[in-house]
Amino acid sequence: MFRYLVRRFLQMILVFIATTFIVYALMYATGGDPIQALAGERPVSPTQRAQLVKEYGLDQPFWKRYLDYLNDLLHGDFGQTLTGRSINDIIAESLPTTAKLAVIAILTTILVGVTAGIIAAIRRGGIFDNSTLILTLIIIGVPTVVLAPVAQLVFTIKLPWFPTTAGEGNLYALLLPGIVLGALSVATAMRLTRTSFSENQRSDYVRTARSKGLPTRRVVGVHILRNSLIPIVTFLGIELGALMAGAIVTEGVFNINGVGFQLARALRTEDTPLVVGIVSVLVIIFLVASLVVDLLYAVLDPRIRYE
Amino acid sequence: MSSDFETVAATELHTATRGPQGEPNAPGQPHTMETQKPRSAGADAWRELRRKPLFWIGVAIAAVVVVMAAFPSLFTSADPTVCPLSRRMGGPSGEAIFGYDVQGCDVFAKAVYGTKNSVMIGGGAALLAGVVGMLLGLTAGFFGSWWDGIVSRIIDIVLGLPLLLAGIVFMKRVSNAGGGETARIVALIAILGLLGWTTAARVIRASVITAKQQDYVQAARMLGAGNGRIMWRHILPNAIAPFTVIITMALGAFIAAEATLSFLGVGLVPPSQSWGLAISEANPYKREDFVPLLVPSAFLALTVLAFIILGDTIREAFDPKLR
Repeated sequence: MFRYLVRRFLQMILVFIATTFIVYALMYATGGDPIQALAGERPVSPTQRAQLVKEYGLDQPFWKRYLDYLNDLLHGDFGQTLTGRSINDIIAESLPTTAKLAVIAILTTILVGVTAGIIAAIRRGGIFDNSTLILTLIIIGVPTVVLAPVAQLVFTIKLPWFPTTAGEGNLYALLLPGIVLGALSVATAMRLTRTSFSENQRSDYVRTARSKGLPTRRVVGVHILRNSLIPIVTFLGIELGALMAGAIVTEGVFNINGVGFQLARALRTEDTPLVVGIVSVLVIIFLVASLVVDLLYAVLDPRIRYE
Repeated sequence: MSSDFETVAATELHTATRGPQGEPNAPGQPHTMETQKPRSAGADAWRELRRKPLFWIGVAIAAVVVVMAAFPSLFTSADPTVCPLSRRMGGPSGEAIFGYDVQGCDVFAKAVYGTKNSVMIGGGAALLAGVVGMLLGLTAGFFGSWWDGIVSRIIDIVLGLPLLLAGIVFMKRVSNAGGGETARIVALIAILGLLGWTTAARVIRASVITAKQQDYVQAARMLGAGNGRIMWRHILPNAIAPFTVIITMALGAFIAAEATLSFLGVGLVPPSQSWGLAISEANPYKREDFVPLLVPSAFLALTVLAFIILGDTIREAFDPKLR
């Protein structure tokens, strides 16, 4: 286990360095004239330019600048936006809202997706199974860019059940966007649960449990369920990262002041440092989530032994 | 976004290969008594597919979409770039069945002409992802050792960048550099393709590693077959079914990703025609008139759905446990 941990950490560090490098190189090394971008339309005199170049370290070689950036990142400093605000502040303000949204989405996924998956697996081939299979196919087929505006149209304008915009995030207002965000994962979770559950239903230990005379509730609820949940946990962990990214569209449409909204705004206002900062945060969340999932795997399934 | 489809496909395929009947697509399925020639796994799957109405629905939608992309003028005589403000938000009429949008453009014509870019970008990216995924997966699984290590690390890195986030950063870079419609289309194909090949590569690599140890591969090697021939003739056919499924579903996911990037303003930009752009233009005005929002939304959702259905039905057809 220890050796696996070390290897997994090394792997994560490699991925972290490579991904931040790619993002940094793309956004800074080749993009336009940052001094002019800072000054806007006004002309910059050579002395001002020389001073700014020195102040921002633009006279340093590229690898040195990247290392400085990485060093700041490791100290938890994401730098400043073009307008001079601290990116840390912006992220600290908006991340809790996005986290709430993600929690609603994950809860929806678990409550609806996993339950429907179990029912479908138990009654495999029945009406419920077949109709949910087709339904989930349709849900997977509808991208968030379609689902979010249409859900807003139907459930806030035509049927005013929810507020149209959610703003700072009272929980009720976040409910509809959370469900929209979770919809894609609901369908996937349902299909995964169904596959893994019906596979476990056929295994020897289930036959043993049944022949011991255990009540069906116990066989299904304890024996099969616990074994079937392993792939679901993996999926949910990886999904957390995807949810953060998917939140860009949902938050934009519902006007929620979360990380995705800030990212969309940064894109519109050409605020490169803010884009890089937010993307770095999201990538870090994604990497940590997948690390936690990998470690959880070993805890959940004692059959898995890491060398 | 793509990870969802791919996770399902990969997981379900993975469980399928562990089934009691062995690999779903192992060559030489049990002989039937009345036929001399053994039916191949592909022929078996095709017999299964032919009977599914859902498969034909997917084929029909995909065919309409491709024809619409190639010959948009067959479906509408209106020009999507002619937008007089005088007919702003004009309702449905004989000339425009879905009316006009906030700029006075024909809603239906815009959606029809948007098909071409979606299909080109989705198809191009899927092709690129397929080629890269197949080459890297095949060679990594076959040669193993240090090359496998390098490919696996590259996969880790690419998986560390969520498709949409990385797409935003890359496309922002392309936007900064300027460049016209063609440059943006090429950039979108390259970005989606280069970020989307990992699942395909993993599936191919896994089935190559399984197949490599099989007796028939050893036999082929002893008969003097070279690496290329073994990979192409003996190993690849094992992996082609799950590969097809993943690439088909990825095609739908890439089309959705293009629409999302255009919606966010970093994909295609006006005056290009794109469903994502049309949705983003119509979204703020949906309280007054929601038809311009629903038409491109329906086009996008049906197209993505068609490829997801195709992938799903093909996967089921190749899975002997579901028969």
